[in-house]
Amino acid sequence: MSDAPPPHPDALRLLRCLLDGNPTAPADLAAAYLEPLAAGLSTANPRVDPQLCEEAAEEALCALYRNPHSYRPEEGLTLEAFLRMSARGDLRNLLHKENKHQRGRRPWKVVEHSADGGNYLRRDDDPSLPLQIAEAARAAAVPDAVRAGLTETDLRVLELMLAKERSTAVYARAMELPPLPPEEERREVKRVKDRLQKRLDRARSSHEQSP
Amino acid sequence: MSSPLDRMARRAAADPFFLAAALDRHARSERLDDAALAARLGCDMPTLTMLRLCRMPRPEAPHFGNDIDAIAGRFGVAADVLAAAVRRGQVLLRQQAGESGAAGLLLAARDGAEEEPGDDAGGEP
Repeated sequence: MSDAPPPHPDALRLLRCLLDGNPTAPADLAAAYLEPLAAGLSTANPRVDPQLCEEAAEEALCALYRNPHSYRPEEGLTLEAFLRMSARGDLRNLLHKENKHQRGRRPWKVVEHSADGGNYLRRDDDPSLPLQIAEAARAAAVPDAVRAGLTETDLRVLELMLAKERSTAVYARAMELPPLPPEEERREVKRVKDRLQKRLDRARSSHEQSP
Repeated sequence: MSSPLDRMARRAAADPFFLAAALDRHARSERLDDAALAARLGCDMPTLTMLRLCRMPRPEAPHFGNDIDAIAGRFGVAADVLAAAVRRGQVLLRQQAGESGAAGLLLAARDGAEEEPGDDAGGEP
């Protein structure tokens, strides 16, 4: 299953225009990437509202417009893959928001007295279910000893670390940091990554020592 | 039926990063619908969508002129017409921001007064 838009032949030229401050670059990038990005997300998440997929694709593009240096081609990721990853994160955030909103709207009595009780959020009426399943599969790659006690945000960061993500901006978004000066953002991301890295190292060393 | 690009362009009107924000204020002040705005700018609807998704021209000289020229040249619209519409839109955006800023200050002042009634420098007569 791939939700990747096809590689765009003009990717680097468009990115260069954006970096140069060309005012038409956002429009050209949106024309090149918005539809395939949104369609890819919808295909990969058929049970998610296509409108949300579209919004997530928009947010990924807007994040790139505001911080074009967040994408670094030298790290080996294509612009398509970078945007796709960013849009997936945005979709996840939108679904969490949506979920909270729906929970807030649902009268508690309905939840308490429904046949599926407190588990209803895992059932078919949860729009984020497909992503939750995908996330669960990814989280399974994280050793149990490390996963225990981690927050959802920590897990997202850890997954990015295991995927060898290097962009501070991507981590900042996964951590849902508010807009911060770059230096402060870097510090905050580093603090969380260092903490998780220590946890990983500890888990690895105790695994090696065990018979 | 509108395309995702059209919908993004419409939503961009709420974000001063995009030219859409200035074009939207201009159109509202002149009571222009999309078709009338496109006619004013001398372009078709798909071009209007692309214009809306451009970055807002930087207001200070010489960047404003350079940005307008780049946008007008790329999309084949008259630079002077675009510049006039954008300037008006930017003025309206600034006014709007100023008003909400002033409203914010008033609210903050009122909140402060409510929180610290005893600190009133004038005191009771």
